[in-house]
This record gives sequence, structure tokens and C-alpha cells, in this order.
Amino acid sequence: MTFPYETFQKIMGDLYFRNVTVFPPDLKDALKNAFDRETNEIAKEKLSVMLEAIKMGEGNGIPVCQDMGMQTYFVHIGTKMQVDGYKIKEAVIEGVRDCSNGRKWRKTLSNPITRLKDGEQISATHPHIYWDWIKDQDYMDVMCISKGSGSENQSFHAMLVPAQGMNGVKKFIIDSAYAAGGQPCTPSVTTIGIGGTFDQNAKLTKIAMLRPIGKPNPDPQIAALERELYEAINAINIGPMGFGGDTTTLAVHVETADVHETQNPVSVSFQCWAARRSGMRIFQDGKFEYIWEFGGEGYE
Amino acid sequence: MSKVWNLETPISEEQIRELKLGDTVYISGKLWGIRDRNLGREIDDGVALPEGVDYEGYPVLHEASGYKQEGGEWFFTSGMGTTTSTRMERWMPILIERHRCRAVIGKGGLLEGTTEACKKYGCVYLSVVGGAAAYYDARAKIINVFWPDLDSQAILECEIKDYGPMFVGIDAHGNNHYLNLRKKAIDKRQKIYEMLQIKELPWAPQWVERPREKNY
Repeated sequence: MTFPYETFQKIMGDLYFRNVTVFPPDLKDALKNAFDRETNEIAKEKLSVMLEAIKMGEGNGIPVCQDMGMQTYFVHIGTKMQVDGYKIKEAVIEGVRDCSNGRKWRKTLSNPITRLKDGEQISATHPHIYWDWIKDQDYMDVMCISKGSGSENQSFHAMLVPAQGMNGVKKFIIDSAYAAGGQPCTPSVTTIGIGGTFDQNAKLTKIAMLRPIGKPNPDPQIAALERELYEAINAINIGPMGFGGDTTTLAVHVETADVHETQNPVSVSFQCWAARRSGMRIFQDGKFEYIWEFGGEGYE
Repeated sequence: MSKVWNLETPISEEQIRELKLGDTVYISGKLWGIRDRNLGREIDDGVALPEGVDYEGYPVLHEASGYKQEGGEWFFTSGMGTTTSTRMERWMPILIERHRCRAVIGKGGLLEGTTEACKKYGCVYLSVVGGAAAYYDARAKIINVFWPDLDSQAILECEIKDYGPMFVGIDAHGNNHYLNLRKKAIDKRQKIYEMLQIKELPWAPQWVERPREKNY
């Protein structure tokens, strides 16, 4: 069966639109729980503005945050699907362009040397797409993460050495939380990559955003590390928007990759409370379902 | 006990000096949207502000919004949002001294230079919730755009109604809530390390010290 590329491009526009206007239920729950637990009056009021902003964004069909940020896509294609990979890539990118231009949204994309913009939210290098395959499946998952600059600017990386061990890794993470303070629009989701090569290590912080907020890593040892880091970062009391309070991070997500015996890389990146994340599962005939929203189970 | 203030622009220096750290503020009237490239053009490149732009007595906001013009009227396309103030610290003391704006609105806080300028010239820093553009959208309307060639970095003239809640992060008497909080956080850093059983180890030998952001 021929894949309906034109329909696919249209629903890719919808996926991007939902990404910035509709927030995943687990994120809303995490913010509500933080609001219920918070003991600092001003922090509580800040959290209530965040929840109200989500309601108004969803209700009025406008972006919750004005910073569309940069888009990162993960496209995982089932090996039983018959599609032209290049056309899939074009449709994902054009979907962003159609939605952004149609609604005259703010463009964030600039040339890194001249700092000039050409008025498009897409280019030969944006959005960035990571590709993978799913064995023996007849569907394709497309996931989009939009991250604003306030939070992406608070990203930290170090090539530690094995002699520094987990002690050094933990210290680097805490020092990063101190350096970031309230700038990444806290409460953040702290995404951490440990291991892998230099580039793979940074990518792990994006992979860490693919799971529901607060869902622990399936490896019990890593889950225990996430829990202790969660307690420690919140004990700093940076609070919502860096104004003090009990909630500095909503969750700590750690992803790992096996590493060269002589290396010990670590990356820390803080995702703002407006942690935009949307995903769709698309079948060969063009039928689709949202992975997270509308009761979706999320991507494993 | 913190107070709730409903202010109208223009705001007097006397009024501003009454605000205390942690007070809640709502403002109605006129507000100017400023940010990196228009600050750089005025302060670094020495270009005079366009005619019609005057910050004296008004709040300036570190804005980050998209806008469009339709039938002669301006509209926000993605709400009235704020960007990180801390990034613009180096320009703010100069702006406050030069133009006597009465409030700087943003997120993330500002540092020592701005605290000093606020005290000397009568200005406060008000913290809003970043990322909540959809919320503030209902409280702000865009009236005019200056230096439109800067696109989303242009100067925006806005009309606001009960814009808030905002919280006083720096008052006009030399107090900075962010710096107080930072000191408290740093004071307990050893305790945080202990929670994670982090030990101080000798730093790995380096050929030459690694480049750090602050050196640039």
C-alpha cells in the first residue's frame, strides 16, 4: 500500500501545533502535585500561573510559551513499513514550516555566524531529526520535543576521567544545578546523560525527555541515582522561577550509554516547566494516533 | 507582611521606593518591550532611540514575543512572554541611569550592577513567570513597533491591564532577593554534597586549564 505522503505532511503540521499548545497529562500532574506540596506562598502563586497558562494555551489554541524554541524529532520506523525515508524527512520538516508560517509564529532560527534570520523556522539543518528502526512493526513513531532557549542555555558537559568516577559525575550535576539557578524556568526536568561518546552523551539528555515526567529509569540502580539527585537538587531551594521554594526540579531523568574504559563523560541539561513533548504513531494507510495525549500510553 | 500593589503608569520614584522584596505588583498603562539586539543597538552601537520611544517613568520588560500586523493593527501571535533577564545584566544599569525607567520586568533575576542602579536612580525588578505567555496574553496589547527591522528583537510599545502577578525581586534600597537566595544556597552546598556522599577529590591533572564560558 502506498503511503499517503500529503496527508502525512498535514498531520505533521498538526503534531507541531499540538506540541506547543497541548501539554502531556503527566506534565500537568507533576505541576499540580508540586503546587499541592509547595509551602512557599510566592512559589505557589507562580506554579498556579503556570497551570493557568497551560489551561489558556490549550483553551485558546495559542502557544503556552512564546519561545517556540528549537525542535528535535525522533522518528522510529517499523521494519514492516514501506516508506520513502527521504519523503518522510521532507514531510516532517515541511509540517513545521506550514504550521509556523500559517500562524505567523515567532521564528527563532538564526545563522550562528551572522545571527541573521531568513524568516523561516526550517532550514537544511533544522529541525534536527534522529532516526531509528523498530523491528517487525508496521507503524512509525514520530516524536517532537520543543525546547526554549532559557532552558537549553543551561546545559553543561564535561569529559571527566574514570578516576573521578560517580563521585565526580554527581558533583558535576549538583554544580550544574547551582550554575543554572532559576534561569531554565524552574521547576525543571533535569535530564542527564552518562557515558557514550561526546556527541552521544549530549543526545542522551534529549532521549531522557521521551519518557513521562517522573517515570523512573527501568534499571533499578539508575532509578536510585535519579531519586537521590531529585532530593538533593530540590534541597537547594532555588524554587519556581528561581524565587525560592520547595520545587526546583519536577523530576530527574538519567539515560546512560556504554562508554570507553578510559572515559567518563557527563551532560546535564535542564528542561523548563513548559516541557513540550508530543508524539504520533502512524500506520501504513495513514491512520494515526497520538502517543501521549488523549489517553495515549506514551513511548517506551 | 507582603503587600499587593495596583500601579498605574507613569510611576513616580516615590511610589517605587515604597515597594518591598516579595510584594505582589499589578501594573496598568504603558509598558516597553526591550531585549538584546535593541539594547545593543542603542547602548553598544550608540544609535539614538527612535522618536516616540521614552522609557522615563515606565516599566520595561525583557520580552520575547512574535507579532504581526493586520489591517493597521498589531497583534501578538504567541502571547506576551518574557525572556531571561540575567543575560542582559551588562546593559541594565546603563539603561536605568540613562532613561530612569521605574521597573524592569523579566525572569531569572538581575545581579549586583542592576541592584546598585535601582537603589541610586529609583527602580525595581519585578519577576514574572517565564513560559506563561498564554496567561499574560490576555493582559497585554501591542500598540506600536519601533526598529521593526530587528524582527522579534524590535522595541515594542504595549498597553497593559492588570499585568501580573509580578513579585518584587530587587527593591529600590539595594536589596536583591535573588542574591540573598543565592547566598543561602551556596551556604548549604556542602550539605547537599553530603546528601550524595560526594567527596572532595584532587582535580584530574590538566595540560592547560580548560576553557570556561566566563573567560569569554
